[in-house]
Amino acid sequence: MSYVFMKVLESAPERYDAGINILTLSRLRRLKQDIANEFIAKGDKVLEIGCGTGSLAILCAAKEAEVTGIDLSPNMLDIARRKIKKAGLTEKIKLIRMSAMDMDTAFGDHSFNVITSTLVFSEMSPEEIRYVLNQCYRVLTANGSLLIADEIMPQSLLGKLLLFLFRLPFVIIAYIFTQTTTRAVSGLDEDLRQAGFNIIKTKSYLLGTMRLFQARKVTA
Amino acid sequence: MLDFIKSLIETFLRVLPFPTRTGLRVLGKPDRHSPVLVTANFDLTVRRVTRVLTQNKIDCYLLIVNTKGINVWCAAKGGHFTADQVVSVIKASGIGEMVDHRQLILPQLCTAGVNPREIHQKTGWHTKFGPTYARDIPQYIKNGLKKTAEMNLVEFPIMQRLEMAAMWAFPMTILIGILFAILWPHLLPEMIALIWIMALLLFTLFFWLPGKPSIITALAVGAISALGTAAFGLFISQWSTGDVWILSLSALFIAGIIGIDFPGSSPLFHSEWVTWTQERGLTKGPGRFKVTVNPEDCTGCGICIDVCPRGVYALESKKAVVTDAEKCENCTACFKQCPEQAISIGMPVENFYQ
Repeated sequence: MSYVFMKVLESAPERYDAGINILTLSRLRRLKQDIANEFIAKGDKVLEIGCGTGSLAILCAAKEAEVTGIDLSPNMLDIARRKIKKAGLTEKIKLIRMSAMDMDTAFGDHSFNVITSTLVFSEMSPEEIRYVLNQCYRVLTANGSLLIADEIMPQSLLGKLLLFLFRLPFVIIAYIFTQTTTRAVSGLDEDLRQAGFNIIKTKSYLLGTMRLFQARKVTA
Repeated sequence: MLDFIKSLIETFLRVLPFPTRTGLRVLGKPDRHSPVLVTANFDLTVRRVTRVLTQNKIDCYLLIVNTKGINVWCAAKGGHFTADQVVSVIKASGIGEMVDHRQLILPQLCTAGVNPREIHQKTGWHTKFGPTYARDIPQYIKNGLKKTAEMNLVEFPIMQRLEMAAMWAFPMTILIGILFAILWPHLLPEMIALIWIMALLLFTLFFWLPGKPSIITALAVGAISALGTAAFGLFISQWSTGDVWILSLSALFIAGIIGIDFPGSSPLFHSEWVTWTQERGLTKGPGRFKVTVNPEDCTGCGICIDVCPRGVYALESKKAVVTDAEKCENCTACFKQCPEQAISIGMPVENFYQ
């Protein structure tokens, strides 16, 4: 069992934030700030899917929202807990170690009016994306907002090539020093529509390679 | 042809993850009673499993879970192949609507990570641990999902050992090759040859070395090879004294690098390197431990026998006993799978569950 390599990866959560900053040229930090400023209001019930080390949850809680953060990685949640305690927001943020795929049993209908998720959908398979989007639809209130930010795979071949070349140095640097990497997702807008969402607004970051979607539940 | 090239690349670069598409694959023409098998999304594994199943004309469903491109065993031990991943693929694939039964066949080596009770509780699916190697799946299905004792066990035949040699030698060729191309370009061909000879030598000799393979035996092979290299350089090839020193010490150095995880590069022994780091608190884990069965808690269900890849356990008068503790490679499957927590490792286990 040669899992020397795995052991290196296992300690990666400690370096995750740094890795993501290199990969996104600190744009993700700004994007998260934008989400909190533009879309989060006092008293909002927010679900964050894949809260990781808790940076967005903290920003939302600072706007006096009630945040529930879920993540699969116990190591990430340990770091999140530390950061939340330091920010003095333990009362405002509830962390649960669970898979987004278990939302069906974990949360009732209309439990949240905002759902956020950054760089999470790109980690899922197309089937998982559809499943989780359907669950998002179910647990959101009638006028609820879904905010997803992810790396976007360009449609054209040239765009794909440019994205690859543009990203390559950052991918290598981030991987060597932090064992962190990200993937791009494609067809998210179509999946959102299929799940019953209306895309209200999109905002591009990093030359359009990262995009924030604001989607709203279509109610008949 | 493309398949062959892919296999070659993935063998040489085995240390890296090679993810493939996750989700449901339909093999042959399965019906509502066909078996549902599960594997990790390491591309090499998926292609090998698929090849065995299609060659034997087995109609079945194959669920590929997202283990981030890492093989079954490493993913299970590293926390990337857990009940969560299996639950996810069951729900997302909609496999429940395609078959009438609720019987999953999991690869045996995922037992260090997957909690079958959690899968059952969340999805209603029952699980069985299939054979260790894909080649035994057809026989296992023919036997009505029953394993022979041999199907549980891991082995390390010459082909697998050569694979491991290539896994070590290839990245070393690149890294040390770059170093030599800069420092001693005239020694580059000799150095590359030396890397491959050392890797092949160590893994070919694996079972013929005295004692259990360890960093010590690897270094001993390295020292003898260093002398051999020196003799070759002085008497046959007439290298300069400086070059003789460089290449001889390199032989020792290469053996040392491979030696760090020499036993752990096999599926038979615990990784000295990993336990070393665990015992010093550098990584999370129990370190080296010894398994014992508490006969009062044991119900004789035989799950430990089913999941042990080394044949450490046996049933004696309806109780599991440890027959050969020396063979145990600390894979953690037995005490994680024991439904009665009857297996003790001499320390609290709670912290080591993923």
